[in-house]
Amino acid sequence: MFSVVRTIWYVLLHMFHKRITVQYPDEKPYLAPRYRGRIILSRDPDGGERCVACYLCAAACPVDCIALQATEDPTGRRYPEFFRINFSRCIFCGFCEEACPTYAIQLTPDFEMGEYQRPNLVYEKEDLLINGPGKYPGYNFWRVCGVQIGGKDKGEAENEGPPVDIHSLLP
Amino acid sequence: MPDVTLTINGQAVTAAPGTLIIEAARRHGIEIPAFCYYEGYSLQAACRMCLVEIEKNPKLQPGCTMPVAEGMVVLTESPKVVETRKAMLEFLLSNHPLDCPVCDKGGECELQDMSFRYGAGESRFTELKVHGEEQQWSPVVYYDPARCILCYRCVRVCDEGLGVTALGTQNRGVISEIIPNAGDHLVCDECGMCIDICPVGALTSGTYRYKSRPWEMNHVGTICAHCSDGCKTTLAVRDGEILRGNNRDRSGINGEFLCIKGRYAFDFVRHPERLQSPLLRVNGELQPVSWSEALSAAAAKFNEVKARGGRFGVIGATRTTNEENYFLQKFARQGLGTANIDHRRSGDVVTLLDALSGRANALATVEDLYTAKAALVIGSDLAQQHPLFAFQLRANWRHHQLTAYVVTPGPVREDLYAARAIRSEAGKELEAAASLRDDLAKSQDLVILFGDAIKGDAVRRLVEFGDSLGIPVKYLCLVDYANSRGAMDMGLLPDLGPGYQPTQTRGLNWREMLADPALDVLWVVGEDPLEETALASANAFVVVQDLFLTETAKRADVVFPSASAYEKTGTVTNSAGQVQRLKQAAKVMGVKPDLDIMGLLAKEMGLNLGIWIPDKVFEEIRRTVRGYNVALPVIATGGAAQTGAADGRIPVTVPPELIRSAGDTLFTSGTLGRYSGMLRSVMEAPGTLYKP
Ligand code: SF4
Ligand code: SF4
Ligand code: SF4
Ligand code: SF4
Ligand code: SF4
Repeated sequence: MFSVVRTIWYVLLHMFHKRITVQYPDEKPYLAPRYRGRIILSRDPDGGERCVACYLCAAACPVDCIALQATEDPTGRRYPEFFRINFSRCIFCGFCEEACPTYAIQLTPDFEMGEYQRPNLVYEKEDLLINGPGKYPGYNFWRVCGVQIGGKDKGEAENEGPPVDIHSLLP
Repeated sequence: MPDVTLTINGQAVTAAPGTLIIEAARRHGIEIPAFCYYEGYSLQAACRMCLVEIEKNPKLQPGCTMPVAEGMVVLTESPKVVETRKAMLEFLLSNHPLDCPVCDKGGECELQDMSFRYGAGESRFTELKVHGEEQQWSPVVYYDPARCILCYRCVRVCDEGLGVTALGTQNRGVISEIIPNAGDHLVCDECGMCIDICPVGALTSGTYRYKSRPWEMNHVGTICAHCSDGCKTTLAVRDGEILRGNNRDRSGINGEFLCIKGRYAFDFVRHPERLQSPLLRVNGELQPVSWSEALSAAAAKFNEVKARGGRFGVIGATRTTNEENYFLQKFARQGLGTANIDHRRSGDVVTLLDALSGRANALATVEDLYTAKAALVIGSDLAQQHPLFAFQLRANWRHHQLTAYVVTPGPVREDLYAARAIRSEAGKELEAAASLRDDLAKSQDLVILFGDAIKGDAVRRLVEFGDSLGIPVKYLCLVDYANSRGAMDMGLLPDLGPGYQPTQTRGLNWREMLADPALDVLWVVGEDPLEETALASANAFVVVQDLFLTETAKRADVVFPSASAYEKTGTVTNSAGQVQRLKQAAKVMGVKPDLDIMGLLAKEMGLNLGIWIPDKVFEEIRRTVRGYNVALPVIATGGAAQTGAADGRIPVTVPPELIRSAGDTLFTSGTLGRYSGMLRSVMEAPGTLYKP
């Protein structure tokens, strides 16, 4: 008897609470910036591809869903010839982002990736690359590394002196 | 002198007097990090990573140059040592870019490991980093001075190890750099030893550059497909494609030595002209057909010719495995009922084994080249034709003061350290060697290496000469290709069966086969005899198994695409008679190993020649071929097992004109070499033998 009364009491109480159901998809939920959703490849502030094809994300990935092939452009810049993420396997753990030394691969607060065909969940580089630096606006790996690439010669990186003339005796 | 006892990190350690602390520690499982120290090369003490604390010694001492002493107490990881190492790393990194994400060495870099271990990634230096321009020195070698930590390993391996001396140092202090011998590029052996030995990513290779990462690849230890020295090469494979070759684990008879062919000339595997489908001559044109069609065409012809008692000629190869060669001769002798079987010989092993019959320990192994007191090289430009043997002899000279003697038609690299080098015309080598009699007799033992200059009766006279010296002499008959020796051992000879057992009838040798106008079928497995001799019989039905459309294959009626040594399993025997095992590394669509092709052909013909699985055939070889009863665990674990000599006389005379070495240089390798882009791209290629 008492339990029935208590149940009715709680039902009455909840009728006056604020509703937590969201009317998705008309209404979108708030997701924190660090939410681990769809993976993207970002670009550096100069607009170049950030990924240097170091394979660290592929090594870190526990379900082995990242595949890529390194190559270099004629100026010596290393980049991925292809970069493929199989989202039907990805568990959105964020290990790849953690492993990436160049902030290229990032997880974004976007989870709307449903597909009717499983092959459509395999994203190629064109699908992954976005037109901006993502969460890390200022960083450009090629500005700090010692390798020369197109538009940046030896000695033009941050904290780097002009190259040595080995035919002179003075530094 | 008695061994000394010392304490390293509280552990009692005994070592021979004169052992360096770093070595004594390593042998007891204590790692002392070092960049410049490298076992087998001169001491440098340049990197200062190996500093250790020695009790009662006021300063830290470099473990790589400090010999052990009785009662020494050494600490290798004390707080003082750790702090110093971190500071040393900070110095090493003061100009180092730490580009690990784009550096080819990332993942297997000693500097990266140490930076992680001692946490020296952050620098307190505010000065600008000084970096030199990245340079390409050759198709093989790239150098990025920014990453170089000036350990001089590359300089030492090239100078001391190979005797090439192509690398040097220029300038001093922060602006010193490694420089190549030709100003802005290298003229050298292009062996890539310097790249592999570099502890950091300063030297990178043209083939592997920016392709992959060490953890992305499977490492398959197999045997080099090129010369007969039998180096073990560890191929790094990704998705069935070979990306690089090296032997960093120092396993095998070669340690970490590899020449350009073993390290880089694997690219023939993916050559665009590789045959990937059987070809059949239809209306005078070779056309791609299915396997079953090609097999039945060849089998039908074989059966028809066999039924009417026609003439077969079978030519085997010097690069196919022992199993394949054994199966081929079995196929020819039992299946086709012909004695006409041969291959192209490049050294007179037959006469040597006959002359040495009944003796134990008269055949030299690769290890013997490193331990012998004296060596005599006759008629071979060893550094070019047998790079591993040259490297072994040189290492022997550096470490054990080998006395070397050279008798060659022209200058060779061994002259540099040989006690005596004699130039002799072709055919006069024995007389020239005889003039060394007094010198040779003074040594405790001797290894004689001879090429195709000594053949037929000259081999017997050489052995007599060796006997007359009164010291233990071992012999090594140099042959050309990866399994030249195995082809002879397996009985690809017109008058000798497997294990040099004389056969009832003597068949035609390969020259006679090609010159025979009545030949009905010519079956060539992996060889290209028509490149130098024409086929006399116009109506002969020619069946070829090969990787490429060679001259012989162009004349063929049926061509089967076969797998190269890197795409199959089996065993091969090197010049010194050491058997080693191949492991499949690469995968190529549409090809089959020669053993499978022969097995399928036998099945198609309705013959019963036994099972054609490499391991099973090898079991049969172990049972039936003299000297091949080798220990299976040794070869199964990647080791080399010495085959025994054929005891008992071999009653045949070898026609000397059949024995001829192809005279490959460092940059050529018969047909395979022609299809290796890497070999063809180096500017030294093809090179000449006997150049100073
Ligand atoms: S870890 Fe980053 S830089 Fe490296 S391959 Fe992955 S995305 Fe590219
Ligand atoms: S040499 Fe080693 S430490 Fe230096 S950038 Fe390359 S991987 Fe990193
Ligand atoms: S490739 Fe070989 S020969 Fe050439 S510089 Fe390097 S170690 Fe010397
Ligand atoms: S290139 Fe490599 S091996 Fe040569 S000195 Fe520099 S770090 Fe050492
Ligand atoms: S020495 Fe001969 S076996 Fe060794 S790597 Fe060179 S070609 Fe291959």
